[in-house]
Amino acid sequence: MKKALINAVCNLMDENENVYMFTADLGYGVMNNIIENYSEKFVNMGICEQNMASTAAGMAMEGNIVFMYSIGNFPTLRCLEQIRNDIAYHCANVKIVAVGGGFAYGNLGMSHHATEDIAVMRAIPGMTVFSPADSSEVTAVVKEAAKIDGPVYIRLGRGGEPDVAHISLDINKVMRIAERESDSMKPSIALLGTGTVVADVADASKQLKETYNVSAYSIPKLKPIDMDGVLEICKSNDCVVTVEEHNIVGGLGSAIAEVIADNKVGTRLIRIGMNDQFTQVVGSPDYLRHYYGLDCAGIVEKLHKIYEVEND
Amino acid sequence: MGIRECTVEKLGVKKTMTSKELANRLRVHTVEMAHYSKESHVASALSICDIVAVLYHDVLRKDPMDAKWEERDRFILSKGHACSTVYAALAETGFFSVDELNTQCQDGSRLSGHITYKNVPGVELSTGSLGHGCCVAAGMALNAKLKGKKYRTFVLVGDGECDEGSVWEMALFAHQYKLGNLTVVVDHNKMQAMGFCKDIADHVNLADKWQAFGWEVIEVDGHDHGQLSMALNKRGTEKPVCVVAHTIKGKGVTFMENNLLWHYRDPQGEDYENALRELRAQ
Repeated sequence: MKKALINAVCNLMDENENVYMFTADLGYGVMNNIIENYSEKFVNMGICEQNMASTAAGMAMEGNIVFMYSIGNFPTLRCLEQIRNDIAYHCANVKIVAVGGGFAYGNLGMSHHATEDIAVMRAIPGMTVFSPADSSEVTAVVKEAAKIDGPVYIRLGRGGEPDVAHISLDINKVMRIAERESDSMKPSIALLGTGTVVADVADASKQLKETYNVSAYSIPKLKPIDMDGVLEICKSNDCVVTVEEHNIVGGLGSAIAEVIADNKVGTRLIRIGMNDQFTQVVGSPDYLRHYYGLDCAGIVEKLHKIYEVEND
Repeated sequence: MGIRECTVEKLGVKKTMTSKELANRLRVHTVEMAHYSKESHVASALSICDIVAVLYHDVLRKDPMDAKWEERDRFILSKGHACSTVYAALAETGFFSVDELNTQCQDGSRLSGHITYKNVPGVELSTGSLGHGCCVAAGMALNAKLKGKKYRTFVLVGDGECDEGSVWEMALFAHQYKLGNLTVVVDHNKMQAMGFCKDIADHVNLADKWQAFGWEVIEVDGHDHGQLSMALNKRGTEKPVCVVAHTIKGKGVTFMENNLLWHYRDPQGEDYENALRELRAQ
């Protein structure tokens, strides 16, 4: 994902002389292409996220597009007020990039687990929020972000995420990654995932086919969300399940709940994510996804249990 | 100096008005605005009237008929609570009507209690939370530096505001990127919200601190227009410039000077009459 991001930003720099990359002294090795080939567009702000956010706002107010890069919670929570007051209130053209959303830095401890960032960024007026699942989504997200005249949050994994088999690739829409059967009496469920859990969602959709008539989707754009696409899914399924490497408060599950509530749709919603808790253990992303029930096995187990209880 | 050809004329300040006269007008407006709005911070606003008057009279290149003129100098009030002085300066120099000043903070007014750029011509940035404006100013200065633009960027911060870590993040950055086109003015009135700076978060010596961060530091009497004009018109070469302006909080109204009460209280009744009488006699 990181490589896709940098390549996409370099492409933008080729097209537009007003594109800049700021970093708060992170991205060693990642930034090489920019440092070597676009050095005049690269600014290492030092370990100063607050100043980075405000300075990016000042640069953007002068007609530039500024990508500000850091990891985990540093480019969001550490400088939240600067994002709110200086970037968002002034509609500044700043693209906030966080590498390592969710458990990407799982071994490094709670400080590096970003599990509230989507909720916080979604709550800021005018902020567009993306959480791409693989490199192809990242490339499309960066292109789309550059078209938006205003603040954008881009939440990435750390790298090495498997490619998602998209049936369609329109970054502004819910994107189908698994089709349900056309003729089935089984209860229909739609699995909706965002970001780094989408591969697990795709795997889970295969394992649940014996019990449910399953479709699955990747939703990289969380705000504004594809209301029509979500509504169509909600209206055509018995149950919608959201999966996210994030607190269930304020993230994808909440976004879908808002669509359901606002449109008087009665679809059942099951939210899978961090249950309003901090991590209590460390480990690899795979380990933590499994520990907190967000991986394929966790999704399948939860939905089988629900089926058993409801059909007992 | 001055807007395009001549600051004084183009900015709508009467040609005969000196910067001292402008400063006194700002003081009167400031007291009136606090009276009508019934809001705090009149002493903070009085503290910066001379700095702001010299900026708008002698230094800033601005065009009230074209507030977004690309080559204008950028001025940001980082201590946004002292905004009545800047609103008054903008009105006195033709950006909007003086008649509007006393609507500040009233229902539906565009003039908020902390400075805002929304719908207010001539304001670059909304502030109110301390330690933001100076960092945004650094971004504007960086843009000019990277693109060879001639505009200068000025930002006015409070000494209490220098408690904020972000101010020093910016100080590191502006030195590292050699932003000689950036001038920070510190309103050094030695007081902050709960008392004297030295009793709360002692900066020991602010000028030394900015110098230690690699800035060119000029200390001035923040009420001496000659010293202010000389310091503010001095362009940095590679080093960013910090003008440490020694000021008196509440300057111009004797009973408000160095009196923390007037960080909060709004002038009413006899206080209001006495303040205006003293200012009008100056």
